[in-house]
Amino acid sequence: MSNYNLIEAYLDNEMSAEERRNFEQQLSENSELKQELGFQQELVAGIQEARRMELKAMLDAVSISGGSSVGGSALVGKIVVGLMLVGAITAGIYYLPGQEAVREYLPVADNHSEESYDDLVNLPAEEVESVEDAEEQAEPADATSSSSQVDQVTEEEPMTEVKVKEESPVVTKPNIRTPETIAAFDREEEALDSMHVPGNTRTEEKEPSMATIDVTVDNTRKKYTFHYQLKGGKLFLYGDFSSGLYEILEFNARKGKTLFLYFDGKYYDLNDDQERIVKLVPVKEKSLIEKLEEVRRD
Amino acid sequence: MKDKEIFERICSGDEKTLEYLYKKYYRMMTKMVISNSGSEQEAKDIYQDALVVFWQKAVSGNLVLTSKISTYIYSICQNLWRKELDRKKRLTNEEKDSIEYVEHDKQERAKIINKCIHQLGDTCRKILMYYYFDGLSMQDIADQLGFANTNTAKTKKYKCKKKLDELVKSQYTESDFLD
Repeated sequence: MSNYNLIEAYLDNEMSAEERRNFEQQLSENSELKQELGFQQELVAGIQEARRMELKAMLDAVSISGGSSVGGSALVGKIVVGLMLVGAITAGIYYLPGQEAVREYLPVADNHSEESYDDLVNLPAEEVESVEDAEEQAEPADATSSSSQVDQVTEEEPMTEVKVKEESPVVTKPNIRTPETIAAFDREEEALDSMHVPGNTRTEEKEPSMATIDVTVDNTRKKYTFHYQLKGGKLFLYGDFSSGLYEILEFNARKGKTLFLYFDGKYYDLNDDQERIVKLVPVKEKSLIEKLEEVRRD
Repeated sequence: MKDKEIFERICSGDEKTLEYLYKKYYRMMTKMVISNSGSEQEAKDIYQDALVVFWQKAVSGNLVLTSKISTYIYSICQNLWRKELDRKKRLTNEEKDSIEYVEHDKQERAKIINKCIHQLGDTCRKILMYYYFDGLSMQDIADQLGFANTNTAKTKKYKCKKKLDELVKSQYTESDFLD
């Protein structure tokens, strides 16, 4: 058999144990054969890589109408307003007239209860109802579908579990103006999968498309008294923000994401890609302030 | 579609079902990466990689599913993302230059191989990919590509590989990789 055929048989696992031993013996003596084997292995690795890339490209071409900003255009005209209270979590949904949808969420402490939910957000009665409806629908289904196998896996993983109950309220489609945001997703099934997401609970309990910004307040650095930094999709606020409410206003438009911070009666523009820690500078432009005021009030 | 049906279709090499699966869990999987200090691009990349891993294992018949598909893919995502975070950490600690220098030649060769793979005809490319990546048997390849029997598939695979071998070697000589 030629070297080529030998190598081919070796790589394709078509050798008997004895043939294999012989071949490996030859390899240690014959550097040319060894080099040729290396080359053939590179070829196989190349074929595998090409196929991997081909499959990835195929997936990449699938349009995700789910509304995550990876898609970009799916977010046109959508405004997300995040209203944050230090150490607090819960979620609610609001509207803006026209094609803009505004969502708000009030984060509450980890051990938040249904009561704090109602206390913190003045949801119109009908919205509260629809939220509860969704919970009722989702829960029984959840109980029946979680198989013992999944439970086992859940136990093995030391990760925090996503609270399915928290997510399902957002499933209610009537609450969201941009229909394609969720329509293409089988949210009920998604909610039923008792998956667990590592990381802190605060981020997870937000509605998925809003989980784009994670805020950390750091009051321990003396050098930074009123500064911020946006790194890896996370917002870090340095200084004392305990004297009042701060709110993050997030605008998703065709050209990208714009963030504003509202604190103590002033608005601050947050540069989307601010890796360095810089001082927060209030927005001075009157028309912009008016616009922001309008959005925030809604 | 139920898990069982999805899994069966994927095992039989149905790429459309992979696309369906991709859409179905897109949000759930990317969220995990994003909430663990990943960018959206990274999240997408990890999720795609995880699905490709799942695909390869399923198609080659090396996977017996004991949990839900989503649970399985989710754990792949977690592992891949942990690995990526480790890699990033190492990269910032070590001298980047030296690594890149060593990798350079290898990357150049990989590029040439990739180019040659795409110079092959469709059938040849598919045979090699199905055989070496998807891990399909000669019978499966014959079925998928409509060959008369496994012998035809075998002969074709041999010829295609040989052709790629020659193509790459001629390109290597041009680029001085083989002296």
